[in-house]
Amino acid sequence: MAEQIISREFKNRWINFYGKNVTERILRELEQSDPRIISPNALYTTRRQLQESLESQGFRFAPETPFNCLILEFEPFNIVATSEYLSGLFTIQALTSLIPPKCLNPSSESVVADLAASPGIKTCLLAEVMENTGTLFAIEKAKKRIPALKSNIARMGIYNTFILNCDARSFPGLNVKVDHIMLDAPCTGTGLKLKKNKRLERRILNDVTRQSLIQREILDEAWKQLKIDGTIVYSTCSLEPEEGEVQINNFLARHEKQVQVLPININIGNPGNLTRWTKVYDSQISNTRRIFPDQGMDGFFIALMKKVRE
Amino acid sequence: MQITKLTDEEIVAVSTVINEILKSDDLSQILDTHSLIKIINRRDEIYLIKNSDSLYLSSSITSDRGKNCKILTGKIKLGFFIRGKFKIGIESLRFLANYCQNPIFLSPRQAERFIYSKDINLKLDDTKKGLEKYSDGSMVLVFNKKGIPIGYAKILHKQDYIQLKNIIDIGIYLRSEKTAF
Repeated sequence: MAEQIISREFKNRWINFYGKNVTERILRELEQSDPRIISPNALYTTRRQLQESLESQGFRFAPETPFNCLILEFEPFNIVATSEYLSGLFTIQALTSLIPPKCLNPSSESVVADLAASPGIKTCLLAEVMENTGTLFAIEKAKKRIPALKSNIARMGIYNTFILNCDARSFPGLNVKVDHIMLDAPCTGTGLKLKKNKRLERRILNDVTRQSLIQREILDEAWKQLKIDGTIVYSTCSLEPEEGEVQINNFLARHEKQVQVLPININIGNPGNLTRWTKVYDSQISNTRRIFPDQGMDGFFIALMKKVRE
Repeated sequence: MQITKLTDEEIVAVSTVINEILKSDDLSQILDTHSLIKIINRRDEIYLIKNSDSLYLSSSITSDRGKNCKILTGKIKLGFFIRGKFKIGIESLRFLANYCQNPIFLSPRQAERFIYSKDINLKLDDTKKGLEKYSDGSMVLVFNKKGIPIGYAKILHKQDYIQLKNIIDIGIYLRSEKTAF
């Protein structure tokens, strides 16, 4: 059954890259769906306050609280109909969404760009880390995805964000140098679990080539706008090396002495690894992080890079 | 899309509505550090931005290379003009709630009705809310019992009750995410 969720060519390349055992686990997990994760809006509430308020209405949560979030176990009615949701006291999201803003950790007065922002969940998390101060540019190319972005930012009481409707590759046109960039890049999404990813079985290898080219262009344009000592967090929810380790390895080769890959301080996932792919690669790749779908969340790749003076 | 300053008449119209909601002239204090701007999209939208942010707007306007990447919305959206009249927007709720001097609190049952877009009728002897001091047509910021702002209402004095006429409430995030924003 598991083989049917994605084409054989993807399965074979995962075996080549990750090994047979890991691939079997990936295929099993991709068919599962994760529980709903509730992330409290630190600007207006605490996890304890929110939990008490929702439990008094009959909602039940798991005892564990990963990344200070609540795992929803039972809802007497749809949680988005609560006044707590409507007044922006929490977002519902995948656990992986929490990682990039926390890794970037911008200071409150910094200038930050989120280059593929809609629906704005990670944008809101960034604004929370920035304590709703400084300046955040939320950039989204697809016009039809702008209303969801605007709605989430307004609902969550975010007041430090400019929304721009443009291709992330045009961002340098604004002539704004930024301290931090979050690039949760458009990708094939092969790490997303099946419930969220109806397109998985229709993915073809050409999609990987096309998306990795777009990611490369966005990364290079974004890099120009980053200040010296600024950081960029690059992430994708793809299991394809071309959208993860290989993409960063090539980026390091293009920008050689300007990039320092910083370690990711989370206790989930494995260090990025290219030993099965190529003999020649930058050792800094081991500072990136690869999360598999059997590690409690969607499949995910993340790299944190600092721009240093040559 | 175009970003401009407000005319004097527009500034008066915005200030009148905001100060009426806040029951103070706090907007003038806010304007010591912020500026009002108008972004002309589908409607004339009014935003507050920090004075230090104005450089981003000017660079987006003047740069030729920036023509494909212009700012669509600013930071603190206060509302919009429709047929020359300023209407408050739901996006301003959390921001203005910080400055509100005379909040109106609703019971859980009233608050639930209010976020379903209903008007709330209050008995005249419900003096705890102190509504009788507001003139007819006065705008107020409405909170639920937990102190969370849930919307804007207009006070209407009826013969034997006071009505909180729902102007806009947070239920809009559920009712019309795709059309309201």
